[in-house]
Amino acid sequence: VTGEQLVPVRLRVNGVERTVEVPGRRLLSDALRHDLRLTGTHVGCEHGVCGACTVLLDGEPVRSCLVLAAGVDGHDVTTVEGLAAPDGTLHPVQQAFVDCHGLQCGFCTPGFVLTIAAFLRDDPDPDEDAALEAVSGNLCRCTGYQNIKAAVLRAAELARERPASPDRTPG
Amino acid sequence: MTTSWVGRPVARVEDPRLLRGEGRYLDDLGQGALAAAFVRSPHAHARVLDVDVDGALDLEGVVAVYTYDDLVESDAVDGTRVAEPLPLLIPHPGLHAPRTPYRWRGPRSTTLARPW
Repeated sequence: VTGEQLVPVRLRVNGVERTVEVPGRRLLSDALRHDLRLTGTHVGCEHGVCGACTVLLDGEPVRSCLVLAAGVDGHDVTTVEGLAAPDGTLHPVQQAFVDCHGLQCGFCTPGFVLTIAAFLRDDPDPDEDAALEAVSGNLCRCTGYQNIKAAVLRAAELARERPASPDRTPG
Repeated sequence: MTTSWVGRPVARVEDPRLLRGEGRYLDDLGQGALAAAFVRSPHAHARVLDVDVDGALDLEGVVAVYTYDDLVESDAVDGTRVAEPLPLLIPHPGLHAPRTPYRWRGPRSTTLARPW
């Protein structure tokens, strides 16, 4: 409508090659939600404070509202939709949130889950302080964080219990 | 089977859906949705005798215009209950009656209220 120039972007989302044509100013969060219709990624503050829009970019957690879609050409993105195993089994972090009542409304949850998945890949056996520190960049207005901290520790436990399950977290 | 839920954790049925990114929050809906505009009477106190939608339908891009008559038809055809009048709401006296033995003394008084 605006006659804005479009940029072709090729990216791999949850293991699938996708191509979108977006204006240069399109945020990665909007490209995922609107262009690719992956609405599991939530936009809370849209300026990098709340962490709800966190996705994994080449395996590392990033706030997708602070990344331009045009900047991820050729890169690998994992969203919350891509975390469960192909057979539908929840990722240990997702299961831990169920076990520990780590969510109420669930709006902030995708950002937490991806943040924690990347954290536990690097630190598979954290103590309580490390678990809390790991989620300190994500805001949740429902839970009071105690159950989320418990979910981090529970997820570490679950990952140890079922090491055979493929870790779909890239990187 | 016990009927008591007291003292037992209750599994939330919505968690797996929310954790898979399959929630349906308001901003997740409406992809490709049409926009709606509500038109109200320009007169503050008047009886609406007729709504002529012909001019509106002729506008480019207008897909549909709905009036109260469509609600009546919907109720008759589809069994909806959207044309029913709103219930008559009468506030409980306790909600608007004075709750303390203080009385409003009027705007000329510098004391807003005093015991009677």
